Amino acid sequence: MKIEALFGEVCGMNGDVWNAEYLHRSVPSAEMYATLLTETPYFASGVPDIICIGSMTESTQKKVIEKLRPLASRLKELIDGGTIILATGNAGDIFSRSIVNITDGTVTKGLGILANEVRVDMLGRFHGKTLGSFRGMEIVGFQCRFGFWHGISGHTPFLQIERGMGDCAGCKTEGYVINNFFCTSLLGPILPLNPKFTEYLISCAGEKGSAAYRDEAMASYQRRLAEFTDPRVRFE
Amino acid sequence: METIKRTRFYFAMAAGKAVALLLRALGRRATHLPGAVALKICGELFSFLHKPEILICVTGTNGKTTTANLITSMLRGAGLGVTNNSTGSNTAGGIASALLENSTLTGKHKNKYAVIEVDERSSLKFYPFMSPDHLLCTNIMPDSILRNAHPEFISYIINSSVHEKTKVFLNADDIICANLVPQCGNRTYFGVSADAPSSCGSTTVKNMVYCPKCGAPMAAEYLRFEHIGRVRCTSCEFGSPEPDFCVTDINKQKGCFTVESGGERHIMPIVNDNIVNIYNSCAAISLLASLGFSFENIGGMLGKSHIVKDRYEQITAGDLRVTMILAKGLNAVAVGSVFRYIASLPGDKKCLLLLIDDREYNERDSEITCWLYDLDYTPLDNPGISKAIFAGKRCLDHQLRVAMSGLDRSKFIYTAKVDCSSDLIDISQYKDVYVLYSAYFIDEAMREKERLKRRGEKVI
Repeated sequence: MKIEALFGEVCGMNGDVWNAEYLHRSVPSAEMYATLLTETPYFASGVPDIICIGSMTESTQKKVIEKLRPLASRLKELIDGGTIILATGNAGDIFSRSIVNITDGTVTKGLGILANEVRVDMLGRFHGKTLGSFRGMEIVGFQCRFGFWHGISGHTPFLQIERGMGDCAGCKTEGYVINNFFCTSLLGPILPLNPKFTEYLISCAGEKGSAAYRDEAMASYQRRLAEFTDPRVRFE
Repeated sequence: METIKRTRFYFAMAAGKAVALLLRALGRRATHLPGAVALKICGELFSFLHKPEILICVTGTNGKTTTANLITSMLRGAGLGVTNNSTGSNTAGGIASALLENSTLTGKHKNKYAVIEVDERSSLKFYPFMSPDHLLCTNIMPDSILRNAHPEFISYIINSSVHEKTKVFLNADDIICANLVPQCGNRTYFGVSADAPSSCGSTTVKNMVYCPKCGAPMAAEYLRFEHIGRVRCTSCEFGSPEPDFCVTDINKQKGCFTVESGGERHIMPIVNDNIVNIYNSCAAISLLASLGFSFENIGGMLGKSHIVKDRYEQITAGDLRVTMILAKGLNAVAVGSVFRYIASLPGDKKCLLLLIDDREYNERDSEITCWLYDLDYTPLDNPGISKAIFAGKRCLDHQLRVAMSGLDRSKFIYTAKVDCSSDLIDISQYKDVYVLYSAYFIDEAMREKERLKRRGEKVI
């Protein structure tokens, strides 16, 4: 198995950087490609099994888009071919048609792989928790976002929301999945927080293996799930 | 229109003062509510209040409370009247409470000086309406995503709100802080020299991996933690500025350090030897020196200052020494710096009791724990630390992080119960117990301190 962690030095805020690392520790035999922003991504000429990219600052989004723009068609080809791509936090924004910053009025052209627009309000941040289901798995996670996606209808959602925030207030779905391209606004260590989902991704890559530190990860997951399903626990 | 606004202001002042009186009559601290009520009635309260003659604001991710308290205590030690918000909140409501308490009904300020600690996010609500004469920023670090999102966002907020005529005091060793408020020409930098201890040896400039001017990689001459140290761009001239006030020769045994400024060297007393508090002391020194106080006076005043008890306290009970240290919850950098500090202290058989969850979020909510994945647990692997107990609802998250950090799992204990968690410590086995607690667990931490004290005295 080949894992590519894209630009982890700038796209790994809030613990997102641990997702690729956790996959690697779950499958120690996997080859890890930690690509820096100054380097050519491995996927440009090779075929990784899993690509991870995580949260970044708004100025970094612009740099990452410019870095990946010449590789947009290659990314589309990998998505169509079933490569697993996990984009967490605001990493999903870069795949959109455009990012509109309504605070300073700037518009950044995205990679255009998806038809949606992202509207960013730097003075209107949302943070909260999300409980959703994906293929029968309960997924727990956190959100902290300045940007919201508009015009993403037509795609298969990642999560069916059970509690908390989806793509917008009141939305019953969150994120999207195209083949094995998982785009979610859940940020941080989504894989260590969800060991069953980690194992699902590993199986999608054709590997067998259980999540690293499974006992500890499952104990933490079960505790959080109990809290998230407790009606007394506040969500907004 | 102006008359209506002014009438509303007077009403807000009267209402705020009445709320403060009522709270005091009920035996409660009037820290936030009076100001919040006044701001609710008059959104332009800060515009109508008279500005103190010398308004000093202290902001930054970590250390602003300590630094503001040091400056306040030194000014008061010099016999000066000072308004400050040390007993209240540092958000708009708390700032308004402090200002209206020290103002007449017509808004005239009673003290010459005001030292106001300002939460970074409150910058936009305060500075544009009451511009500080002096603004000191301790540092700009990653903080809780709930509070501050990321350093770039906080820089944007501060840069958008500070007037160009404000005199700013910035941390030269924090490349993000040093480049704040480019519109302000009157800039003073403070820092700690490279030969001072506690360089971490890392070469990756966290939080500013690439130059914001040209995009080339940044390089470090040395780093203490995160991006604190001296750094430069590998391609252009962008880099750390030279400090105007620079700490050298930290002598923990003698309890003093040297501040170099303008070619002169001045010996200053150490208030607390954690490197972050050396930075805080230097920040306060640079500001007071710029206000015209002599270094001799500053040294004398600093010698009488201390870190407030609910932030740092050390007691002995029999053979046991108990050290209480506040470690800001939800903040990986702050907690990590306390981990490193304890690991760096001499001695073995140290035991840690860690009460670092966010109680409020875990009582009625469930804490967002992303910060635990930015927290460096590896200092806990130090052989001098024999045992560490994580107490609180998030103990299983810590258990996973300890496993992921590759630490010796046998020396850790996890319990969801905070009350009586110190009973898990076999005090006959340890010389030093350190209790680290978040601001949400001060009362509980103090109860555990008393339990440890009673047990330590009983052994004797």
